[in-house]
Amino acid sequence: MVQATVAIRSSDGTFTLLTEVAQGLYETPETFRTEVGKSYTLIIETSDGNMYTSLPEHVEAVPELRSVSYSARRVPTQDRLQDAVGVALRAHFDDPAAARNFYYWRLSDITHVVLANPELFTLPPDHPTDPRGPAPKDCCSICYLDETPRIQPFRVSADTDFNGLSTSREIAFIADNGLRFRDTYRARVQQISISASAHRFLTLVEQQLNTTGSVFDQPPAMIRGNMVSLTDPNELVLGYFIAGAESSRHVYVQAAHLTERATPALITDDCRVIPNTNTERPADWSPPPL
Amino acid sequence: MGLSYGLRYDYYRYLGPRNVRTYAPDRPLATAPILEETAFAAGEAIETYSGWGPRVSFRYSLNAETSLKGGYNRMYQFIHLISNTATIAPTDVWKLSDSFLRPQTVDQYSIGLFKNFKSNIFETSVELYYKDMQNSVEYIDGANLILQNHLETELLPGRGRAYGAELFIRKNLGRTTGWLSYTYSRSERQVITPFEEFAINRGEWFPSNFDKPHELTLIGNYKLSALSSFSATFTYSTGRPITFPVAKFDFAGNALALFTDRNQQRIPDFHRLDVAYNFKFNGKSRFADGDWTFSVMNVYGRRNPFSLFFADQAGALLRPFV
Repeated sequence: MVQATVAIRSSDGTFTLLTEVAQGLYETPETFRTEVGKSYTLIIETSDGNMYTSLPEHVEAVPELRSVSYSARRVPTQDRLQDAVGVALRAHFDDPAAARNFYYWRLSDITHVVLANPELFTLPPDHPTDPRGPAPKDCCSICYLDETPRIQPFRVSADTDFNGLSTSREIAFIADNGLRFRDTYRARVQQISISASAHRFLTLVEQQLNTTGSVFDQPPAMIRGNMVSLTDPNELVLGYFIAGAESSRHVYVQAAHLTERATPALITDDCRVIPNTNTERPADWSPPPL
Repeated sequence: MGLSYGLRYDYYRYLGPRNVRTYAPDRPLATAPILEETAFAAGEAIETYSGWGPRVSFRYSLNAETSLKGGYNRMYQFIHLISNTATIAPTDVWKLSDSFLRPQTVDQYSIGLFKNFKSNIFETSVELYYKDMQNSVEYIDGANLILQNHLETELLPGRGRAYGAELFIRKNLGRTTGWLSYTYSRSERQVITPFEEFAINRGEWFPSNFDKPHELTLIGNYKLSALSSFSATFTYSTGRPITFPVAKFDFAGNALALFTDRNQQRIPDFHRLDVAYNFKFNGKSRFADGDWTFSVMNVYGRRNPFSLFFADQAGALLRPFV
């Protein structure tokens, strides 16, 4: 949907216009923040005059994300001979007893160190004078890769089993591709409070992504969004407008603390050959001391 | 004229040990806050249900070859099958009625006309029936039915109805014998809930997993001699209802299948032909004496689907498995 007018209306009557920052991608102003206790509604008017709106999403308070821990994990895959190795992240927080809470966790701002061995670089095999001959490069053995996965993993949970308790939940599994956990991996863990219906939407998405094609699967279900068309009430509108409160923190996964890792990928070249890398350490990069 | 009647009294108690939750009122159980959990000791009554089940049937002979039969009965069922397939599967869950799940009540009415022709060589009948079911059970969209200690959060009470007509013709005598049976039957469910997001098919009637409108069975025997015969059986039934995706959409980079109304599509129809050659062997060998049957099952090799599931493929849409 391009060149649409997109706005968010809060329950106190405030309108916030969103800006189209890329084709079909709309962003709120930098200063926009949701407020606990208020409801928010998304309103869209497309360039051809069709109007869409979401149902109001009420923002509930989110408990503080006290800490995030991690551990190496081996998980079975559909390939019987090969397990997946990676890192499981756990969020630690105190669930409030007074209300039923629904949680949505996702990762953002993912950066990790890429280690390379430019000193092992060799000339190409078809080199006229010295095929495969050593040709060490001066730069660079350490890069920082800004990793924004195309498929964004997420987890959801209701507090059914831990209402009012201090708890920890596994909120992500990051597969080790041989590059991620050679040194330090950083991600921002976002813990977001969501409404019951948003939780239901995300649970259905999660279920469908985990179907295996067996009798143990959940029955197929409609993933019902909260968007409706004001122009044509019979139109089936897909998607969900989520508004929530967030508590987040960075977690630094350090290879020295992992008991198991995948076979490291050896880069016998300048680490900048890996797309989206640069040698500048991010300004807020501050891993804890080993 | 013949009349038979009866009265049955059903009394059911759901006993502990069990922890029973109390949920906040006016909220769907799937998302309602849990107010408290009550522990019931072994043998302690958690819930009690009872009810009268009258039944009556009649037979009225119009003449020597024609009769009219009808009946009514009420039944209670205190155990519910919770399943996402229409076939027996290891994942089927049988759930007793409890504080959240009332017993299923069924009122069944039937009437039929039975007539024989040509000195009872041909038997024919036409029967109509209607079944009204209260407190049938449906699951919510995305229900987690396996290893679930609190199934009430995954279930919705509904109504059911089944109705149809059965036609039957049988030839009892002659070189060719057999029978033909055709049934038009519908089995439907309706779930009305005050919580719109949990309504199934907007509260409209929809086909149950067992809805097969057309069923035909044809069985024939042809006597080749006093000791041998040829027989054939043909069965046909409409494929059972199933929910297919109708579109795809993206969420967070994932390609997702969009399922809409429940049970609006069907798996392919079931049909099969079996043939058999039967003969009696009266020889001198004890081993060989007796009735012998040689059968060819599914003569034309029809691949009838048993059930259908979907699997997620990384980076692709759900793929169906039959």
